[in-house]
Amino acid sequence: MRTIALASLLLLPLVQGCLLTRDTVNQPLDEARVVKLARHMSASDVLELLGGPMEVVQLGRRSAWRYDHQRTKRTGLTLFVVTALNTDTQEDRLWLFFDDQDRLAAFGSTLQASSSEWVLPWVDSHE
Amino acid sequence: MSAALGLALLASSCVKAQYERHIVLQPVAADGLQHLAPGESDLEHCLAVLGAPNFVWERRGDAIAIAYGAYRHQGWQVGASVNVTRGVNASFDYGELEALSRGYVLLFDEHWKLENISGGLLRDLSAEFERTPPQSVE
Repeated sequence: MRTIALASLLLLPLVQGCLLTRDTVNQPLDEARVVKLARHMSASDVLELLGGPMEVVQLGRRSAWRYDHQRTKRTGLTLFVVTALNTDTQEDRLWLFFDDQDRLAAFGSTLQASSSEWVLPWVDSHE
Repeated sequence: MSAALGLALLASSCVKAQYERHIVLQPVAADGLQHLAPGESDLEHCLAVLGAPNFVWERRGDAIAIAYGAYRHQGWQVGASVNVTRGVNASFDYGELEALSRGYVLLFDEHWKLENISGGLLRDLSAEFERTPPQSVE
């Protein structure tokens, strides 16, 4: 026990710093609302359900809307002169495709933002 | 003498090394692509199998392309000075994603039926598509 304490005291000056940060872009997508989406919904009904999209892409007479949310977690550790830094960015994403009558024709969602992790760079992550 | 100089440099933190890893999104599962058949699968089926794409582009007429990408890179930086704040800005950059990612581009015809699947660097695969600027919704 005394050896561990002594070793810790000796190592303490070498640990110059560490960091944990989390950054987010936009609000998380609400899965309870996403599951309410159905083909042939009108664009106005979708707007009422999800609010305004982040991006609209015109596809000829049709269009696609994108909703997204990103979460980035960063982990850093400095030991003496060596710094280890890991950055993990994951995203919730939803694309809605509307036909020329502004009816929902297809949609796809990927909800992975919550899987962003604080880990050091040598630890397996999302393998 | 050289040992003393080395120790002095280390003590003053002039010499630093940094090991970084950046993970941006997760790639689509390759086995998911095996469930897609050009000429048969439609957009709805592809989205159900692969999830939401990262990019959607307009092609000629009413044809479209969608793309999936992700990247991770890691490595050492060694030098007399290391900027530990490099990359700390966490704002997500789709331009960077497109430039650095490997992934897949799926081409659909005007009826949104799958025509072709290509894999590789997204910036190379997407070079031909016309870009339309984002538009706001009223």
